[in-house]
Amino acid sequence: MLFSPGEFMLKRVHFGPSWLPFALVAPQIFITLVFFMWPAGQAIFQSFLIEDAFGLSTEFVWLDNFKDLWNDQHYIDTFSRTAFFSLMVAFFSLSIALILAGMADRVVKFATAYRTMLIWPYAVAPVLAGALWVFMFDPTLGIVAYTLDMFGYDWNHKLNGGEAMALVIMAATWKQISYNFLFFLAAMQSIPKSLIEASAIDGAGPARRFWTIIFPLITPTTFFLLVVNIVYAFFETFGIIHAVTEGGPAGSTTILVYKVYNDGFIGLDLGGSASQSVILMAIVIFITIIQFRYIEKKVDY
Amino acid sequence: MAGVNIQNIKKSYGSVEVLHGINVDIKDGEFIVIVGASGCGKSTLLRMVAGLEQITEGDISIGGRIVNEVEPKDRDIAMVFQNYALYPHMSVYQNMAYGLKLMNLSKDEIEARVAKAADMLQIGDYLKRRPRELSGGQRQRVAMGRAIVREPSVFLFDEPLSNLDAKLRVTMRLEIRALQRRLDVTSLYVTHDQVEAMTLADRLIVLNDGYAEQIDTPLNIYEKPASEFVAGFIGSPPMNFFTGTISGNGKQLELDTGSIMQIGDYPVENSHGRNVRIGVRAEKFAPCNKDEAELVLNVAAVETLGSETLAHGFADNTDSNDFNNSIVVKLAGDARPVVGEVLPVRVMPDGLHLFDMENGKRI
Repeated sequence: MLFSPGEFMLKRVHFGPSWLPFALVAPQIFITLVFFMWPAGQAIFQSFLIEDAFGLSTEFVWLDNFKDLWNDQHYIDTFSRTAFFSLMVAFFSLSIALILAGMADRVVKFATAYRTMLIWPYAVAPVLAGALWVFMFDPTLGIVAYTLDMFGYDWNHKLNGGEAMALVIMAATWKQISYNFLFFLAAMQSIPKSLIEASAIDGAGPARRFWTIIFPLITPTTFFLLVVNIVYAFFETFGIIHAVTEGGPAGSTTILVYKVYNDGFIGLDLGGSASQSVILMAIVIFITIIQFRYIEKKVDY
Repeated sequence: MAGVNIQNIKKSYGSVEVLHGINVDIKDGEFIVIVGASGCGKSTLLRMVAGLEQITEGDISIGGRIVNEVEPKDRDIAMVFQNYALYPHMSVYQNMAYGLKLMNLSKDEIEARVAKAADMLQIGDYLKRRPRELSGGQRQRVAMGRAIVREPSVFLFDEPLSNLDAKLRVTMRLEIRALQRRLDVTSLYVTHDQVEAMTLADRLIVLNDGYAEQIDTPLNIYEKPASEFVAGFIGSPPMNFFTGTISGNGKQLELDTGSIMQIGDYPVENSHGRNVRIGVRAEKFAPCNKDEAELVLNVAAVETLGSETLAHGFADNTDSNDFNNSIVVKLAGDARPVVGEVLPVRVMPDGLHLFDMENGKRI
């Protein structure tokens, strides 16, 4: 901390009691309460209930739903699957974005055109992004599947769980690269040019400069993106999975957030689904705390 | 150890030419200062020597080897940047050792070189600190240290002192000069500060708008500026300029304001009737009696600097509000002219500089 908080408050201005500040924050409070707090509360409440599929009878069961999840091998598998999926998405989208940003940072001609094109995928809605990849990899119609077939590889993500997982990872990664790219590029461009020049004179080639100067200096951004990407892979990939595999084949691409949907809206196990979303909620809170506690304090130089 | 030869160097950005053919031969161990107003291309020239900027035309050779296509790291140079460009995530030691590691020197050799440079610059106590934990002057020393440890044959300085406060700038200036003498390394130093330029340089390059107006020793430049630009740029307070005509068969100058100045033995031949620009430095005016005055000033402002007193004034029939056209006269430190006073002065015998009306070249 450079300044103690009080240092700027040389003169504290006191306002009399007024309705104005309350009125100004009221819309935000209203939205938060109605669209976030209320559903969250409902989910917590529901997670203690067992309901029949038609909603005719409801029974309060305390933590039974959670106990069931704990003993459900499918749920445990989903957990590790989600972890695998998130790590892969985070790893690939971060590293590809890092490479692209590193290149774009060095481009001089048509730089704006390159950057604009690299940013486009971010503007594509998740479901559409999913649809795009399904088309390309469709076992009967897809251009990529066709090409793979020419090389003697029989691609069928509708039957092969591993291929299905690879496909959703690809789609989710592709969509996130743009976002990461933007942040990486901004971070790289905020590094003073003279640092790069100094290291060039000191004898470092482009790759050396990247690993010894640029990469260490963008660490804060990398940490931030790592958290954002994990959250993205956990929660925002629903649309992609829904469009590409619908969690299949045989649940091999069902990640936590998809299972919440599947159990709740397809399986109509509302209590079980609610308790899963409570667990997800706890995970987000945990990640957010980590981010605030450790990452926001940035490794600053 | 090596000299630097700059041959007809040109630089263009697209269709805009910013350097129009610079020629200078820098001897081994010479301290060359490139001075000029901002945007004159002085940093560009330095960066071309460093290899950070492509050469549009011409040749640069270091130690007899043409380096136009040579990577910066292979040019055997070291550079000190204006903002120091220290690696913020590395300690002072790591900053200085970075380049040496890339040279594949042994660990002992690196330690020895860093220790030697740190000792020379008195930064031995800070080797473990990060750059942000250092003051401006200390960072400056580290940047110098990083250059020294490479033991290059040419030092390049890009306005290295401009981020320091006035007092520190004077000390560092002296230190840089002493260090350069001691190491005897060819140096190119870019600055817009003419005091730095005058005090540091063996030879000065005065750049104006991409042209080298004059390349000479500081004193020669001060005493015999090659053009009106150089005359106005070097020296503080700036030289006074008048417009006039040579008359009296090359013996007199008739100023546009009506005053008459004696030319003395300034070499002007067959120039009767020629329009010229006349330059006189502030210290080359001598107060005198009213009847032998060449110029009579109405004093409009007085700056007492202690060691000297500057009187700014206007000749009778000039606009006495525009201080861009005021005439400044340097008086002794104990002189006390008063605003509104009339100050008769004459030009000392060697005080005149005449420049061509059109191209500004010295006559």
